[in-house]
Amino acid sequence: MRNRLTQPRPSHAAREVGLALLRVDRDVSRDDDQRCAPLRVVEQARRAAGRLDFGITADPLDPGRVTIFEGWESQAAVEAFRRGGPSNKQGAAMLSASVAEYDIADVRPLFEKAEREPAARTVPRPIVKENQMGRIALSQNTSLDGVMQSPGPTDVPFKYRGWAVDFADSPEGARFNYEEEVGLEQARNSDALLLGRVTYEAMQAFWPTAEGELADRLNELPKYVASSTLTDPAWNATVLGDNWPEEVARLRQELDGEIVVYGSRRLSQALIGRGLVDELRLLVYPLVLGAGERLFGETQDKIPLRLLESRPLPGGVVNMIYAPALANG
Amino acid sequence: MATVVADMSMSLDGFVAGPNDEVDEVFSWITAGDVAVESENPDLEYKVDEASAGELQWSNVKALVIGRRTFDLAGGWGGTHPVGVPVWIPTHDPPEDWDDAPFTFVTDGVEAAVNQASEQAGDGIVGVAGVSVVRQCLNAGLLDAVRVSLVPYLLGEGIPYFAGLEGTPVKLGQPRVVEGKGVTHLQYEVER
Repeated sequence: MRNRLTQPRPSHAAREVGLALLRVDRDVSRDDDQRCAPLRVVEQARRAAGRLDFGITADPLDPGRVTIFEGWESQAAVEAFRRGGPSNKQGAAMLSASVAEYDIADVRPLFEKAEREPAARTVPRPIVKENQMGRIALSQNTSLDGVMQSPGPTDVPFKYRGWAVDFADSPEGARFNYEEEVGLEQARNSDALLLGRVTYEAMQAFWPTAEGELADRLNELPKYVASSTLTDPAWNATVLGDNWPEEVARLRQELDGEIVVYGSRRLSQALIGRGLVDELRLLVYPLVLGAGERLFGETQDKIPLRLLESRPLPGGVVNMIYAPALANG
Repeated sequence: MATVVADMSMSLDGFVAGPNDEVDEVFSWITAGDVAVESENPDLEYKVDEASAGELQWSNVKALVIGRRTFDLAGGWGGTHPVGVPVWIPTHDPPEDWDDAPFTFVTDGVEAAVNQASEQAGDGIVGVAGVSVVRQCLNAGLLDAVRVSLVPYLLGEGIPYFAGLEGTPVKLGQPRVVEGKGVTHLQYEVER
């Protein structure tokens, strides 16, 4: 299932629904008094505010093992109940316990769905909460063979670095104006940028001193940078740090608007792999580069998409927009 | 003079088949519509939408050059390629048993195969398929155009349309873009 339904718990985020799975290894040699303890816990839990469900099951194979399932409306409800805690006596009867909490991102009826959607065999389904607000769009310049490395000027040792800029300097390419055709409108419609460190640094080295409407818009947008090493970001940026996949999922859910990812190969591949991409926007240039890092990496499974738009632009560039075929069910 | 055109279906992440030659996804568009397109091979039916049907007007295709691997995987199309024209197959080791079929196995290289097919085609089109043959044709400067029928799948892994190219970047021209059901047909001239 690969965490399709649930995301591991971020350390500080607010949650609406919590599910706890506990496994307790009991000392079965203890006296009868202990056998009554679970009964009291269940009674107590089923009376507790914010409880969705609460159950304790004995293990059919191991009499010393007990599994507890809990569903709560909020983290606060879990914590209020926890403060009630097991009594010392009961704690003493536990030999060991492993506890984990998961945030419920989506609930669907298992059997009904399975009958209705036999075709949904393959897809890492996007994690979509009913109240999801934000959308993540990847915006990429690629060659026909999918190379996306360094379309603009950079220091990296890539023999075709700046290939999109070189294209714009060619006679056909001069007919294609990125800002006019695509860039400005997209930047105006976006509410935040999400970037990997390398792309962030390349953009941050260029745009703050650039002029024009696109530069102004890019400079004013809030940025989020997925990086475990960046510490002191400038350019209106927030570093998401080691927990960035969870932070991105949270952003996507909470930020009311469009989050655009430019470039950022590894981040993009991770987002695709985690089903966190709502739109793939490709500007395909009329070039086969034959070398360089490509946008799409290996995925766990094949991912069917649907084409939202394909539009030939001057100079031979084609703008293609795809969405996951099963997004939002 | 004939026009030599590479023509294959490709996933959005650049593969013409899965890692074990799976082609269900890249050929999904071929049965995605209601318009039947005549095939010379009764076993292979094409039902596409109207836009793609226009792309499958093969009347100008007079000859094909197809890689040996593709030929084998297709089982020689049972002796008749759906387009219904003669096929040249570059190979080091010609198979037997195809004496009655319009297949020519060429042992002296891809360029020779393309030349022979071009002679047959006259002013028509020579279609080229198979990743190895397409690569060799691109590297030898034999292609006039590249056609990609782009299907909306990310396969994640597989056999890439473009690999092992020399003389890159290969500059292409303004594409003709036709949006069909479950497929986008792109045709680029190869600029030399």
